[in-house]
Amino acid sequence: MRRPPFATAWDVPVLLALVAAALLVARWGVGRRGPPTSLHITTGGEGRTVDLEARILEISGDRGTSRVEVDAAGGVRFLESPCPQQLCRTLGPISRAGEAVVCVPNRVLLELEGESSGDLDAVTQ
Amino acid sequence: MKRWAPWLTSLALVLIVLWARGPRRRPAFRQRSLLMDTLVTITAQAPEGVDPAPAVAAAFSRMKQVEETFSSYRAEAALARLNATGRLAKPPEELRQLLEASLALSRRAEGRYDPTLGAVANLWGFGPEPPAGPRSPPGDATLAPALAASGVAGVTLTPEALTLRPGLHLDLGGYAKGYAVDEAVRVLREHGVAGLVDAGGDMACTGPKPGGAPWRVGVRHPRDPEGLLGVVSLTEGAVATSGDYERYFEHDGKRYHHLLDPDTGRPARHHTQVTVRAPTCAQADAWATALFVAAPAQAQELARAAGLRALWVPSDPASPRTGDLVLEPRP
Repeated sequence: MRRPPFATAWDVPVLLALVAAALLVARWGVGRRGPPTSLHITTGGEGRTVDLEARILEISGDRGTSRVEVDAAGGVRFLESPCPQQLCRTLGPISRAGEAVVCVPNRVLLELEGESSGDLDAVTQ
Repeated sequence: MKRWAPWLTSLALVLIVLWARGPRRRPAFRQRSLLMDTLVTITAQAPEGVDPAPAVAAAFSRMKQVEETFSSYRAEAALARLNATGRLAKPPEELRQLLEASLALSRRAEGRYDPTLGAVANLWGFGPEPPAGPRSPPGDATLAPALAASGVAGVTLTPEALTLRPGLHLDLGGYAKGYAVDEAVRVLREHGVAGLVDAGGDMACTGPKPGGAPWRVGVRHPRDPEGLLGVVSLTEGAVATSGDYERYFEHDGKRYHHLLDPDTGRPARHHTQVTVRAPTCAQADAWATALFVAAPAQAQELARAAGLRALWVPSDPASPRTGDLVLEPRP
């Protein structure tokens, strides 16, 4: 008796569809994390959420006004703060959901909201 | 005869791909607060059906209590009162114990970690009593009396009181911050919640995440705020980093940072950054300072004697990194 073929013409598209579905689930399936969706600003214990439209924000803190830039790519960074060291300016922009940057003397905390991306839980520095 | 082979093959392929992707990760609960002059982040994962929020709130509450005892910036804190008057009768037991522990670590670190440099730090503008005007490096004549007043021999602990030599100010900043992290970890454990407590980049965990996975901690690149040197997988204990980029000012094109050499009262210059693993965050924080301040050969020997794993980035960019703390590749 002749051995049946391993696959017929009908099997091929079905097999390809199954492989494609598996790869799609692995790449973009349940649990994939997206880019930041908004910026949460906390000053003096109070918080508010703003969108990530590109602009300069002026935020009042304990010591005065911090100037914050939201760039066209959704990155956020301190431009200027009313404190002597201006350390917040050296910290670089934040750009991923879950990241945060703070001016401690002026007590201004900026957090990017959204489903966190990346494999890291924290950064030691 | 049915042709099962292609169906079995495709099913196996799907299962292999899904298995390689791993189980769906439960989102972590994360909350932040400004405490002890730094950004504190607690990341927690509780068992299914358990809300981690109360445990995290309790952990922050405990850290606030620690701050109220050990702050040198809040005038009513026990430590600030000790620094202001030079003597504290019937001190809180917690302050006595932490002071004893920090002095003991200072001795083991051969003085490279020194909690008595508060007056010197003030002269550089890194303490609660900075000099007026724009920042500039203090001269030798300014530093000399503050250095002479410093030193662990100037601290006296008796059952009745804590006494400081005139002119000596305690700076328990790093050790106290690490202790607060350790206390927060203890509170999370008591609530049955797994967590990572991060105070300005110095952190400790309760243990592995539920399911056994480690907490993945990036080690920041000293010259690129967005870059990483590599990753540490944490399933126990703590990790802390000291770097010349954390607190500094620039004067005439030169950087002056807050990690002071107890011998000279000036910023230590041997390294750019050091990262240390230790059983507790208080130890990791203090040892990170000590191993940054010490010269390379002494630093390596101190780490070996203390049983610590560390990674040094030298101040000479042409020199290689040293140490036995092995980092995993960046993600």
